[in-house]
Amino acid sequence: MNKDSFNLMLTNLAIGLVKGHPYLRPTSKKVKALGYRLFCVERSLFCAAANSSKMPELVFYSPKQDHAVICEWTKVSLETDDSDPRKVQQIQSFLSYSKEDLVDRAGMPIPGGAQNSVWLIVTPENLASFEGSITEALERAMLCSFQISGDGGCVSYHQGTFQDEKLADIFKDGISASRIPMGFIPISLDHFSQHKFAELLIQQIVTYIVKHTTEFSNENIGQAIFGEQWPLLGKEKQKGVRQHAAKTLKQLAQKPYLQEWLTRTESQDLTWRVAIPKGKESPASLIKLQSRAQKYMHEKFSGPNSPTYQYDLFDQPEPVDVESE
Amino acid sequence: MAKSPTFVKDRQELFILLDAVMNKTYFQVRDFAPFEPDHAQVKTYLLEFDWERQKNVKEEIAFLATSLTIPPSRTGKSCVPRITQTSEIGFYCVQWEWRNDTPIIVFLDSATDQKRRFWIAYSLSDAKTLDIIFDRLAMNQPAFDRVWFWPKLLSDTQSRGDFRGIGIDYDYRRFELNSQRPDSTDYLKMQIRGGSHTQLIYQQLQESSAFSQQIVLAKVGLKYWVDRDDLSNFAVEEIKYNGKFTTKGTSFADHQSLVIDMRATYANKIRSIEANHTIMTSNASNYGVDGDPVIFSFEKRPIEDLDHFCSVVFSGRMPFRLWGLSRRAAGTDDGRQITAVDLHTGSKLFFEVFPDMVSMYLYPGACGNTVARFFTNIQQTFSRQVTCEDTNEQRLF
Repeated sequence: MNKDSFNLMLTNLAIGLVKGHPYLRPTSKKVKALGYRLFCVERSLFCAAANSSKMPELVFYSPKQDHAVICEWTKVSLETDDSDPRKVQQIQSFLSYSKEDLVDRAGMPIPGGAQNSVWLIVTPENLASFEGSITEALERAMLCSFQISGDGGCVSYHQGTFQDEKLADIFKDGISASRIPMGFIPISLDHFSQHKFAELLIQQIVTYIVKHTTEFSNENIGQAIFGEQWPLLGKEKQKGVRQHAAKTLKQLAQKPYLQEWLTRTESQDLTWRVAIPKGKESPASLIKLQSRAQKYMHEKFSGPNSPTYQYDLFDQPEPVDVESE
Repeated sequence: MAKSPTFVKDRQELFILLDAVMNKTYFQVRDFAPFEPDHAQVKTYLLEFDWERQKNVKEEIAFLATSLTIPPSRTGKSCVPRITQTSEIGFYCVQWEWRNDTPIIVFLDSATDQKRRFWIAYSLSDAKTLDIIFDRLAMNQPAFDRVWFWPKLLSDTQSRGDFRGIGIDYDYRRFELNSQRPDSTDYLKMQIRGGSHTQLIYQQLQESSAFSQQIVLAKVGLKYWVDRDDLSNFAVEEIKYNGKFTTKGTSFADHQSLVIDMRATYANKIRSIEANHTIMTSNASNYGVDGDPVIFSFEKRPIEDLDHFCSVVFSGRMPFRLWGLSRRAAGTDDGRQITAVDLHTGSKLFFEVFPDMVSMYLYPGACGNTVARFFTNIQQTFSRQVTCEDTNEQRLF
């Protein structure tokens, strides 16, 4: 389990819980019945007590309960030598958010944030190291662990509670989600898995083909994958994304079975050219590209412990049309 | 056979002409039935078009000519249509000279839908050739798509008039494994024409244990009056799931009224899907997440082989036109996640496929028509018992 999947799964799980999703019933129905809805995801919020801005993973609130929940999930431990002291400060800041911070400054609707609590989720092995970080606020902070299993995961209660006891009771029962809806946030701003990045990159190339965009740059790929979140990444991360895009595109272009679709250009700004090979303008060409891209993903990422890309089933013949028989 | 007009100056002139053809066809059929199959009936098609705003009429015509060019087949050449602007803005005559047949002529109303998205095409040309042309355009031109009338929309429309038969169509062979295919006959195409007694046949088929799971409405026939107090004015319609209307009768106005109503119902549904089911994140939603996925329930006929299912649906082929990379979710055989592209618009989608459920996530720029296309075609090629809901368990279709 990498950090990306841990954080991304929890973010999507929490969004699914408050927005409602069939995978997460009946828990999501209970949460919705209390009136909870999403306020923000990865948004920087000013904390007056800490005199600084912090970025919780997610905040949700309920006008009905007049209560907000500030969420944080992390895979780090607070006990190892390389643990980040900022993590403790960050949690303390989350515990210091006031109604003024959330409602007056950040614009949380009224009612919604008269009271607030913190939901901290860590890995089972790191639970003990986080106990101390919330001991002085157990009446408004809940510590849970998250373990991935199959397509889903299990959130287990450890200690603490929320200001909204009804919500706390739901979460104290634990959340066993055999499936997690992963389409709300497809990729994390902080860490992304290579296979997901490659999927989104190839998806963008197909979009270019359909829209007859022939040339593009590494920057274009980053903008397309992260959309409106691209400016939020900051220059360093943008650079990292561009480099990763260049590396992945180079690998794709080097595959003999993909070369005809993707080539490097002479231009300095627009570095790549995508094309349906000459004489293959029919949709059959895109079908061919599908099976080859699937093959690339299989070769690159399939393995006993990594996501599997089945490719030998693609590229099957069509049944004969009934009327032509 | 009625001769296709090569030019009319405006829609009113066309409507008068089509009214005359409808009347002639109706009385010929009534008085000299059975009528000739190649008789030129009035055909009306509802189409979806991803319009790009153009600066002037000249550029608009050039854009249309490109968008309506029939791509080359294996041996042939591409066919660029001749586009003629009528005296009405947005109303065109489109003419293809294809396969050395008689020219295929379509009158295209691209203007009466407010956003110029849902077009109405009228034609008296050969229906079979025209159907092939529209299928080829839908397959190859990203801006062009057919509409997809789901079964309930068809049956609701049929209930507005008197029953005049049904068409039933399913073909499950796409989802059969290669080894099962050579002699497979897992398809059915049936047309029943007649009056209200055909409704009885349909009901019995629906209740039959042998057919109840497969019987999907692909076409409905009805006799329709706008004003039931004036029974002399009516249209006898055949409406197919892909947006094709074939009509005869005594009133083109009644036919047009039905087409406009169906366009409004269809467009409202598609726009509502786009408004409520496009997943918007970050600045576009004030750092929240707007929109919910669309849920397809396969509970009554679970997907047995997920990889095979994905290879059919996400290969880029008709009728789904979805291109996707399918990944097994970590550590289990239970689910697949598919990063996909709609080949109609180039927009991005994400699917989660489980044996009993498929979740579809539309991202900004995605088209609600994709949902209708997926649902309608899953019903016809996989199972009638698949349902489509929002996350609050409300049926979408």
